[in-house]
Amino acid sequence: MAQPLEFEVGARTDVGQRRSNNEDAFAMVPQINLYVLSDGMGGQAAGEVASKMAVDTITGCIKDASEAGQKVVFGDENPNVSEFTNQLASAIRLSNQAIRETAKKHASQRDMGATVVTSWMQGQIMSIAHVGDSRIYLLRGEEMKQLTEDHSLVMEQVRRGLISREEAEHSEMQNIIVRALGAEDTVNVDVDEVFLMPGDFVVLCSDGLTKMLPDDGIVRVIRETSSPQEAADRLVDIANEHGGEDNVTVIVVQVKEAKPRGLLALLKLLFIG
Amino acid sequence: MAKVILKYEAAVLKEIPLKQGTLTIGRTAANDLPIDNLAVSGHHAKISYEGDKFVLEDLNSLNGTFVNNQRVRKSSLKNGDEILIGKHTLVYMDEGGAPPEKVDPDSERTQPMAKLEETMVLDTKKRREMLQKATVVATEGSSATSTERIGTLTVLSGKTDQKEYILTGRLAMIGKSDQATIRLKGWFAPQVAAVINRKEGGYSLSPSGGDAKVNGEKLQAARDLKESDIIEVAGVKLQFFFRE
Repeated sequence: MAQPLEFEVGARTDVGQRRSNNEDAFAMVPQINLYVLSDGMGGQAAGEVASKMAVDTITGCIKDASEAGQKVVFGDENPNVSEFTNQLASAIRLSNQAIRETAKKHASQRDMGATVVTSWMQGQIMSIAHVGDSRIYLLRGEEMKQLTEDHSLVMEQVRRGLISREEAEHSEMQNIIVRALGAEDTVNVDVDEVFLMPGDFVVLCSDGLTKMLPDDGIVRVIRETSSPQEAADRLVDIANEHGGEDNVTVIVVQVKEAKPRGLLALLKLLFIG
Repeated sequence: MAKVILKYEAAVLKEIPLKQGTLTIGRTAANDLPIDNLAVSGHHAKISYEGDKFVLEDLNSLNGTFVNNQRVRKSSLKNGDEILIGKHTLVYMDEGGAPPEKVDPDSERTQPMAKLEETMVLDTKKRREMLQKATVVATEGSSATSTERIGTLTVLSGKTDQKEYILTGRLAMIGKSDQATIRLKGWFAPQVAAVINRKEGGYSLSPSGGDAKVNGEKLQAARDLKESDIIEVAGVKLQFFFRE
């Protein structure tokens, strides 16, 4: 069946203005519409190792499932979401294992960890899965919606009614996260499925972006640029202009209606719709 | 590092790190840890570092000092012990490891608190402790996830692949597409006529470029589905119910 949607992607990562190395990592596999972004942590460049491991393990796992039919089931399957969403969650759990095992072997990497946010499109349905405080947003019309809930201490406080969202935004403890890859032997992955429409923009980013500009700033950049790559570049530039306190990474996916291919498809479009 | 956590009933009031030397506990302000409550004597008890452990001693208080519900005169403390003074509890915590800091009364704390610029990960235990600190009245157990009701769609008329659909997934598409949960059979049916999203507490229906009606009204934007709503889309009529 012909794909109803087409995706155009742009991405950029930058060390920022204050850090000495870039511990963010990302990967894009446009052939299967898979996007992965990870923000590593841990002293002495161990963060780079963690985020790279997260990205490599997850993309390897999903590519195997998609191309070679080698599905990996790791951890409990959720019957309320599709096999693809479950596959994505399994891949993330696998990467947690990999990071954990590696951390145990080297003293310098003992505390390493990473966040991860992933999206994988099948037709019009996007599976998303994440651990940590890197985010995915959906921009549709005027509305920019954060699709993932941050696994941060301040968000837990907000959820429990201890503080308000405004207090969370100004809290000094914003950088404390409660879930990460590599932190414990098992990890709880949050998943969701979202229906995409032509005109939508999907944005994956590390907190290096959202710490430097507000959500409506991101919307403005996307509306004012003419391609996802231009948007990604501009977003990173603005983050740096505003201080660049952390590594910044952003992936922008533009959702478009698929152009009909071939005469048969064109005829179908004309007569059936 | 060793510390005591001061609680009143279930509420955590504060955390006091224990250094070498003595920590006096009592009602008057002269104490290191003043507890302003009538059930507490002026000089009620003290915790001192003796040999290689912390020891609790009652200072002839009126109402007594209890460790794990047993009244004591003097008792060495171990991790998790609960000390009851009047109506206040002090939980003694000591994971072991480094011996307690020597108290140097002349030194000032020159190292400022490290600014949290780097991302830190909390393990489950630390996270519980930090959340307790912020709680004024600790409520045991997080917000109860009410047993969520499951929605169902019954086909009243029109061509679909099933007569009834149970909406367990996050997304349910109505259309001719392979990915649709509710598959429409008509040749002229749209690929995706509408989408049902399951979110916390309920379901909502969003249009997808086609014509859809809920209870006779044209669907312009996402709309929450209520019991018995009738959805009309692409020549098919469906009724929404919650299943108990």
